[in-house]
Amino acid sequence: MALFPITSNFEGDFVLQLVAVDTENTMDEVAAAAAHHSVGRRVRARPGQILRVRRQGAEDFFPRTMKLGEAGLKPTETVEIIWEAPKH
Amino acid sequence: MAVLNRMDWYDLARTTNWTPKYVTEDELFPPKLSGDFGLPQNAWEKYDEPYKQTYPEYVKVQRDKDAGAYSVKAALERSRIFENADPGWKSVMKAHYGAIARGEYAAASAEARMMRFSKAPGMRNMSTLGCLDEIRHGQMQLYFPHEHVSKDRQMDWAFKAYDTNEWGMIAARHFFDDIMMTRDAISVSIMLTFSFETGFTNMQFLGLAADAAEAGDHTFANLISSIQTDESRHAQIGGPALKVLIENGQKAEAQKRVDIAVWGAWKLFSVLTGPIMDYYTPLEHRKQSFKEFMEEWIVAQFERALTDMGLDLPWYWDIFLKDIAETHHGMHMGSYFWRPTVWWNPAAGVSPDERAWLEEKYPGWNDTWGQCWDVIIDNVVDGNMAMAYPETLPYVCNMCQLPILGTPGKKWNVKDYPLEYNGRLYHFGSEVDRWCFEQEPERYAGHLSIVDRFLAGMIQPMDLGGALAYMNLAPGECGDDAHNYAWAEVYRALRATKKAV
Amino acid sequence: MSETQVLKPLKTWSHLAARRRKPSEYEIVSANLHYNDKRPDSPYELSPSMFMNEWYKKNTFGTALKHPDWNAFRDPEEVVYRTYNMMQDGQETYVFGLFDQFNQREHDHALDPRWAGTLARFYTPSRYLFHTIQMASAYVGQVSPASTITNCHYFQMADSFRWLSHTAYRTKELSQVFADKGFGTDERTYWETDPVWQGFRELMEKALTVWDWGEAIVVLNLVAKPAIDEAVLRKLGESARHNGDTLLGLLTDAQLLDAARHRRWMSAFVKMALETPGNLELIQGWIAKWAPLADKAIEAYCASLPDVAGGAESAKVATRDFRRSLGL
Repeated sequence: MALFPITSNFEGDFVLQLVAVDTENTMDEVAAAAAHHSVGRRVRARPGQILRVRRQGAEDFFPRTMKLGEAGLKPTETVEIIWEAPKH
Repeated sequence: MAVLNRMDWYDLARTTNWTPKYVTEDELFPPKLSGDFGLPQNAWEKYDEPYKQTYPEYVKVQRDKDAGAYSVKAALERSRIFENADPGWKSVMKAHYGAIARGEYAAASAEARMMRFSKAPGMRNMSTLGCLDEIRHGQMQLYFPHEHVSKDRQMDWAFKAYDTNEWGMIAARHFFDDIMMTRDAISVSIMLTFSFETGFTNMQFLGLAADAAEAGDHTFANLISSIQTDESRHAQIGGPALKVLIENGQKAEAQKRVDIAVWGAWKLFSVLTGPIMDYYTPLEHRKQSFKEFMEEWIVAQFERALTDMGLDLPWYWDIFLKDIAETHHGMHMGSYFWRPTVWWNPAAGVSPDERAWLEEKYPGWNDTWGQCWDVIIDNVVDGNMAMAYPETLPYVCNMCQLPILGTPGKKWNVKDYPLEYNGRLYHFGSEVDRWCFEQEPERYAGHLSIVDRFLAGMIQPMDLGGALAYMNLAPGECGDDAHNYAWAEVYRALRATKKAV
Repeated sequence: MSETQVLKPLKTWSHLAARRRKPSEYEIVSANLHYNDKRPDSPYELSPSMFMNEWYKKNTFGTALKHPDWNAFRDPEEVVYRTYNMMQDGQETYVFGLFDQFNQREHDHALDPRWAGTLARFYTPSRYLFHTIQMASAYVGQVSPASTITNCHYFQMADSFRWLSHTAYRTKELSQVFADKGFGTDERTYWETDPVWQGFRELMEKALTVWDWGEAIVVLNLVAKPAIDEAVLRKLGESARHNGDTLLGLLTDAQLLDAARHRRWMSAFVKMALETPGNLELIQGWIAKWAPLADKAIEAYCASLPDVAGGAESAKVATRDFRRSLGL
């Protein structure tokens, strides 16, 4: 367990923000931590959609249950938090 | 004829280069202070300043100018312009004085750097007068706001801002220290006088003077247009230096300095002048949009200045032309959302009428920044104020020290421009900021941005209170909405009407 | 935040508000203006180790000349920009009035050609010397640790440009009357080769490469400037009066008004510096190191200056009297 700063680039928001998370957090938890600083402040919630995390510029999202400490990210590295509509 | 004409003796007064004997030329003019372009003294003797003024002319003209500006101030002192001004306009003055006054005073020492270390005698004399000019600008822009300190604690920041770690001031110092306080004489002439003063101060001083006159603040309008008359003289110090460099095969080095300085100036203007012009200045007093000012003063005029000089447009000109319609909207949203961290009260500037103006000037505004403002406005209207404030820091750029931002909403394009250098991960707000850093990383790499300082534990406690204390901002100084959210009433009424329907 | 005290407006800047006295315009616009003393590891907001940060850490803040609060320095005359211009515009009106009046009376035509030769050798090359003071003042100003000290130097820099301008103006006028004396063409050669100037040239070239602020302010204002004021203004003015050159005598008198003002603020500075134990010995040490060069310069210049018997000696004594008046 270790505090781990990431830089959140949240879809629809205008600015990168510092978000403090933990290496033990799952990617869903990382997304929720990032959302705390964007959704309802400057970005409207999107009911029914979930949030996924990926490295900036990557196509693929990290698995939702992957722990942050396993993602190979550097401290303060920027991750994109992207809305994902449920697959039907 | 009993008195000589100026040009009879002007050249003698600038024939002052000599060959040192008791010290070497490199000792008298250390390359790191004089400009390491490998050019000997005699190459610089071709330097010819286009604006020629003698000492006696200077003291006479400046005495008269001062008499004008100070008498307007004295005449209007009892007019209660400040008391009666729109709160948005007061914020314009606070932001301007805090970010500018002591920076201008510091520029006196940048001029003194050119005076002492330039190998061009004409430059040394013109910088002597330029140094005096900057003392003038520092002193006037402290004396004029001092009149208002007893009315409003935020006015104390006209003096205090430069002594603080307030994030905008870290950015302002980083820029001014980079282009004028820590450069050699020739680089100062290119970066401060040619790039910043020719390119940008016209806009801050003439553009703002136009808005000030519209807003009825004649003291301020008069002050800053008087300052601009000095700027337009000493801004011409850099041009002939560029000419000498280009003639001696140093165009690439010259171009690089212009490109770095222009970008930094642009970023500073995007946070300082952009919000002032497009959001703080009351709608009815706006002469032109920020973008229109930029297009007239920077794009049209400065482009010509560059090409007249034989320089190229900066390599990033396409990026710049795109950004002048975008970046400052984000800078405004940032300084508004993080308003406790500035020393003025940002005006939101997003009433329905103002939004219509923004949409007209910046087509697509409602679908982008407007989307974020919709959420902010809802929170204000609902009284959900906790959500109308931040709980973390924006990530700032390791070059310009300003938030890393982009366009939100439907055209979301926010992006980090990272760089690993000597094992440390740096973040930049644009490709150009990163390029500036890479030109001379040793100038910047050891610097800690406010976010770096936070992460290093230098800001305690690690919350908003700790951050405000670190920025020397206390209640009574911290910014809040300029109009105390009065603008939200319209939205409240609109909502009531909708419900009624 | 509601429990915290909310700051109220003050009567003046917060940094001046603790004192009871109402601040003058001078203090409002001159005191504590430098911001490079807030972060000891990094005077400027860039890499702490970059060249100019190291320069200021070493030469401004690392000097042996210490005082707990240089920002407490005040120019005894409280000169600000706008009063400087009022004062000097008045002075220039006077000097250019002299130029006008003496020109109308064909003053230069009445000068002895031998005296004109003396002027070509002892007077008109002084624009190089005055320019060195202009440069040295610009340096000391830019590395001074307090804006009130900086401003005195920048006004002194401007005054030196003023003196240089007078010399250039007179050089041109003299060239129109005495075409064969090399006016306007030979000054550099005199400055670089004539023994009369080599003492001052050596003094100023070396003074211009003193980078430590403490040593530089002492060398410039307690050694070099007094030597120049006494020899190249006062003694030359005396020589002029003995050779029918009333104009030059009046001109150097006018310039000496600036020099007297420089000495008044430097006196205040020394008084303040001596509040710190150890500074007296330090300053005396620097003077002892540099005064021989200044003495040599005065001797070389005054020895052959016509009609000022004992000029070198009395000029040297005057520099010492000035320093002695400061307890040095």
